[in-house]
Amino acid sequence: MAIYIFKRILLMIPTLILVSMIAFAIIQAPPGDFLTTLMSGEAGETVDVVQIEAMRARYGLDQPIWVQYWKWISGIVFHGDFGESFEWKRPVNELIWDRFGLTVLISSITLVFIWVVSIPIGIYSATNKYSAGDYVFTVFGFIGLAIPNFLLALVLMYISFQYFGQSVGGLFSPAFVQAPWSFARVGDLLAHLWLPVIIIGTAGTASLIRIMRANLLDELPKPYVEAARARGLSEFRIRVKYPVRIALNPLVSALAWVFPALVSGDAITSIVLNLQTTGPLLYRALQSQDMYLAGSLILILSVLTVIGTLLSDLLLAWLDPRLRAEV
Amino acid sequence: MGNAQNQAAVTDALAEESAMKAAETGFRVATPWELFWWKFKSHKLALISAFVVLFLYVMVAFAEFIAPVSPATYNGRYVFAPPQGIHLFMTDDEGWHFNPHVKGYSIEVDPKTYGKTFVQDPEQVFPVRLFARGESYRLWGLFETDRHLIGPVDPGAPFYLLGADRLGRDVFSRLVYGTRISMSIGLVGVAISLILGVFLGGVSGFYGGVIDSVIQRLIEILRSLPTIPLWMGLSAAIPLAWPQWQTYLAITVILSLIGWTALAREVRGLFLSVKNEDFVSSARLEGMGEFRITRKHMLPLFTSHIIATVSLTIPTMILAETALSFLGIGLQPPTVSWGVLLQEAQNIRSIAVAPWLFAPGVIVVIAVLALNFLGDGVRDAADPYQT
Amino acid sequence: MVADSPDSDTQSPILSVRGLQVEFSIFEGKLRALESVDFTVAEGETLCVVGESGSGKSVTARSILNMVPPPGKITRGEILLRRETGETVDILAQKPRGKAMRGIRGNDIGMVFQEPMASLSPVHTIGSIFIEAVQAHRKVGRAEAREMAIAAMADMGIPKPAQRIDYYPFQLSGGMRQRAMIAIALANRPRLLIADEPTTALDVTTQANVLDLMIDIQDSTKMALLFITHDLGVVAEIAHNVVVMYLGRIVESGTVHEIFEDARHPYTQALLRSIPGTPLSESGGLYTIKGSIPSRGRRPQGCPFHPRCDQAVAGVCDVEAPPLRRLRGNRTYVCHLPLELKG
Ligand SMILES: Nc1ncnc2c1ncn2[C@@H]1O[C@H](COP(=O)(O)OP(=O)(O)O)[C@@H](O)[C@H]1O
Ligand code: SF4
Ligand SMILES: [Mg+2]
Repeated sequence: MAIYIFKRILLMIPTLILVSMIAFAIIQAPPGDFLTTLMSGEAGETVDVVQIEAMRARYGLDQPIWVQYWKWISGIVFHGDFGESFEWKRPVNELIWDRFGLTVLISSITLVFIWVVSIPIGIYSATNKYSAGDYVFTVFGFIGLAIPNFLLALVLMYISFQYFGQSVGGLFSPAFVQAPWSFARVGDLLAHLWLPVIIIGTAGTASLIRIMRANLLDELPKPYVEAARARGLSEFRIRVKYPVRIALNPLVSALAWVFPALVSGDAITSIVLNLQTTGPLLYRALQSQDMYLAGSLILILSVLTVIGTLLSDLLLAWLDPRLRAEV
Repeated sequence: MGNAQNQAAVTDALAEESAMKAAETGFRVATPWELFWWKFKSHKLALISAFVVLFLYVMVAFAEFIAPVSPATYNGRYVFAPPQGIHLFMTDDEGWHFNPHVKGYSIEVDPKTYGKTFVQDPEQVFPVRLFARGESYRLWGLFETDRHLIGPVDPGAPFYLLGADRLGRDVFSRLVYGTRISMSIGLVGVAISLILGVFLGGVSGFYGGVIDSVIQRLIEILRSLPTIPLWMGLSAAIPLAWPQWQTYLAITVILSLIGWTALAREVRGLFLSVKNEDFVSSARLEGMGEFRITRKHMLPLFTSHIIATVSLTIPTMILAETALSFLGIGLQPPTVSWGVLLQEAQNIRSIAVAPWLFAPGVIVVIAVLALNFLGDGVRDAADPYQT
Repeated sequence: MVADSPDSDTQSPILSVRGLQVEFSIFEGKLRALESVDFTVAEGETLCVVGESGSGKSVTARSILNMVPPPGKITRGEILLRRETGETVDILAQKPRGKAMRGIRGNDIGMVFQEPMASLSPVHTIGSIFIEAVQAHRKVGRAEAREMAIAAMADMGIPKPAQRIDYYPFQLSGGMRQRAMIAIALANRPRLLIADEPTTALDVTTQANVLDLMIDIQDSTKMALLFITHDLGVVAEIAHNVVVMYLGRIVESGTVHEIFEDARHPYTQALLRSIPGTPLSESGGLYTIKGSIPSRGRRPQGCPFHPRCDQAVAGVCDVEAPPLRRLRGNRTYVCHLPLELKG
């Protein structure tokens, strides 16, 4: 097991390098270097020539691209320095972590939500195949998969505006937006969380229900279920201990793509609902070509999902004795 | 105690005998395509979906003809005009008779808020006909005509089947043109993905070894990344000054850069299965040549699996394009796509006034559902081991 | 080789199956998988059920536990079980998923299945399955149940039981797995053990070892054993009494001597002729039964065996259902032969 974990973590390194290259490529993508942007974009403001020269040296802008990459990535890895946001005139570091925390929070809560909802429904659908409830959940599942996050967000916003007369959005009530963290603020956050969680979680819930149902239908007629029944166990116990337990494996390996999808979903939903997560920040950064900020956000979001994938792999290895014993 | 084997041998012999009997009776064995079609037909939802998808692609091909007006045509008088229904019959002194028409609007101004509301005016009757004359256009740049599938007899009459937007443009016409862009971006994107996927998946499955592991790792990496932030980053790099078609192409390429992985996996799996597929070896035993095996058995299997994966990949492309364009970093107006159209619905005030701006969203859901059902149906029908 | 048969006529049976009928509702209609199945098993008795595959042996076994898989349904009959307390219950009168039925399964009746690998959950250790089986019926602590498991595994001849108990099925060999399965089935000392082709999936040597084990267990525990097999060699080795099934019916029953020495039914005779080393096969060389068991639902008119029977009497066997002939007690067969001259 330890060797497996070690191997798996080692395998992450090329992934992380590739991810950082993609992020750097995105930083480099806009034409001209960012100082040009800085100077052209900020007409009217005086740009300190000395300051610009300092930055040019800091990012190695007159050196070859790989030197620039090295300067950038080594700054991040060794000094935790993500560079400077031009728009905000502050280090990227100061801007992202609060929002990143909220992204992690929303994605994780959504993940728990998806599991808590889809496992029982999947079990119900499989054990009551072709019942009215099963059909309802199947239809829900297909629609849930087909409706894009942002559209769902718009529709829910419209419904709550039109029929409940309130505009939803944001993660905090106005009183708490700028307030320091406190229990009241946490409570306020939780009261606002359900909407994004539902919006982001719908597609994932739909697909996990389908996966759970299909797997369980595969497992239920297997001989080991019958053998357990012949031992006098209750139906509930038989299902929970055996087929559900085994049907969980594909569900855990599905995490590998569900989690990235949640982080994606968080980005777009947050933009529509105006939540203070990484999504809107990235969006603004891209629009104003604030590339160090944008690149850093893409980098940390990718690292987040890569780590999520790693965790799901480890969880799977821990759940599956064949993997556990073998490696 | 060797009789267990003995009996097994007996049963084998019996099975063989009955197989021979079946062959002697001489009923024609169905070709793989026929089997596929029979199974597909019995999947009603997939069959209906196939028609929906076909219908959408007809819209793609004949957008100019189907849309009553061009997507840019606007009319300040009809800002946010609600949808008109087509009435088939009309009553007058002589009773009722067939006369398809739409009712015009009268505008009421709220004395307090000065907000305009449109009310259907039963007095204003505008007859409607098929193949009506309207704006002239060149279909596929070849045929010049001014006929439209449906439209008011009098080209100046208001005709808003799905209402009007904030500039008084016809939402229905824009939807038809949007369908052209969004459905085709799915198709073109999948074509690019298919090339990448077939190439890399084929190489991976064919050579195996190190190449295979490297490509598999790459696929895993790509699948573990959050797509929307990445797509956002890449498409934000497209210069705004680029012409429409260039942006279109760039977005398509960006979408396929990440979308090829599912296809590559499918192709690789198929390649691997060719190597030890049972029915291929039994066909080989029957003395069929390699070419005939490929043509008779593998090709239908391959094609249907690819079709299934393709029709399951198109919706992800469509959803991605829609999301990006909706955010304003994908396709840009004046290009019209479902995502671009949904930008109009971004503002809660606009949709409160004109909920019909959700129409493109409804089409997105229908298209994605239909493509998913179609893909599922094709895959089920292609699977030779399930009933 | 053949043990003395406890006379199930006089001894009151632990299990008695009467007029059992099971139907499967399938697409084509109702398929009768079992019809008028009667037999009894007494304490210390080994009853072997033989027949080709598809003759209804497994369905019979599942009926006794009242767990015929859907779309199957027990439509007629009674299955009387004498419990340890002396009371007799009709299993078919219990709710299949009810508490009473669960109290019988795994407690009064243990069951061993054909495929040890498939019948054990791949993600649970042998020990956890054993402990669960014990705790389902008795109030014992985990540690105590674990001790029981180790002892039971040792009894089954599994080496290093204290370690093996924490193994997953895939870590054991086929023979060890089946021994573990038997240990689990016997966990609550059932008075009846049903073994559905327990050795079919094993290689010949392992098969012999597992069989010896079962004979030993039965000798020492005096439980009743219902042993299902399609292998007459195995029957000769372990059975006291035998029932022969064909297409869901018992076509012949008797003691193992009677069946092997004096088979009356042409199907039994044909089965015997197809195994090497029996008087019947020696007389005519190795024999195979012609034709195959009819596919589902297509039960021939008259005697269901007549299309394959080499003694079939035209005009009788293909028209009229043969009568049940009872020679004495449990010695029966169902055949038109010998034909009586009708007046
Ligand atoms: N799940 C099922 N669906 C339909 N028919 C079944 C099913 N299980 C058993 N049967 C019917 O019951 C008959 C007896 O099956 P089984 O008891 O498994 O035979 P055996 O164990 O003697 O090989 C089969 O030939 C089949 O017709
Ligand atoms: S009744 Fe006739 S066909 Fe049936 S077993 Fe006896 S002899 Fe053969
Ligand atoms: Mg069986």
